[in-house]
Amino acid sequence: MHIYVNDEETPIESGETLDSLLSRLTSGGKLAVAVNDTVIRQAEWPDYQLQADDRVLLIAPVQGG
Amino acid sequence: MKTEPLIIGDYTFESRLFLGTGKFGSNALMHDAVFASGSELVTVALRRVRLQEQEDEVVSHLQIPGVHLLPNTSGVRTAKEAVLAAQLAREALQTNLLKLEIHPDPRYLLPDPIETLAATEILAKEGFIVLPYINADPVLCKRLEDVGAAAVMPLGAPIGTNQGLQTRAMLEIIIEQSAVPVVVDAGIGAPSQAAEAMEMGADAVLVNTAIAVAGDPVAMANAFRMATLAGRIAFEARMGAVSKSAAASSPLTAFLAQE
Repeated sequence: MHIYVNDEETPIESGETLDSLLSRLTSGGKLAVAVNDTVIRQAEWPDYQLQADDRVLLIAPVQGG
Repeated sequence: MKTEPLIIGDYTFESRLFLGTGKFGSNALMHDAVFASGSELVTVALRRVRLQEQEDEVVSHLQIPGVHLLPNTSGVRTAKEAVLAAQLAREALQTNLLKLEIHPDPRYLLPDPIETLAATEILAKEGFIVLPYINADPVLCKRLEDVGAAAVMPLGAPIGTNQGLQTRAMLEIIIEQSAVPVVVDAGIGAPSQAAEAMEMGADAVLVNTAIAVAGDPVAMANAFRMATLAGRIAFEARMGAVSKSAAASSPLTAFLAQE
């Protein structure tokens, strides 16, 4: 099955958690996540199971005015 | 010399110069400029993480004692998008401070007052300390205050233009009427303009481009630090009245010429 991470189609294993996905795709650092437009707090990542076609938005702080 | 502290929400600031972190040539230069500016509140933007790319993390370069981060919502076009961006910012940076900016027009980056008002009301209720970036509209500023804005941030001129206080007359009205701090944001291009805003009674100024694109950003940050402080000291010292006719500052008794 697959999901969409920042609009990119991304394969996942059935039952994969958000925590697992993030450790595969990101290099750590400050990060915030929304799934289907709902923010998922960091404490919930280990138990949050992704579903097929979920839209995951990953954002991070950058320079800006 | 110390001036009155500035209080926004539950934060207290000694420095009345806020800094934007965009457009610096490197994170190291940004760090040094923030340090030289003496600022205690610096903005950061949010961006979608680019997968499979190693990113240099901006926040690690801004861990300076006394410096708070002010995430912005740049890039959103509606109140709905702004609310999600704000929630993400709070989660990423663990702060309730928020610079709300909603500017759908990429050419002039002028803020949308209707979406900004709607988003301010929602976010203030959610516990955010909302600092909305807006046009220098005195009526809008009062409306934002009514719905819970912690401060208002009217523009001097469009973002990044260095045109100075083009909105001066409206800023004066906003400052006169506002019950929340007024932070002049955008357009300030020279230290003298920051001083001018502070002399007018603005509570703070937010500067980014003028420092970041200067030949020597660290020296310019220092110049802005001094100008902002000078302007505030002048405001607190209460400037003399402007008058049309001359008023002698030396005694007018004649001692060379015989009357």
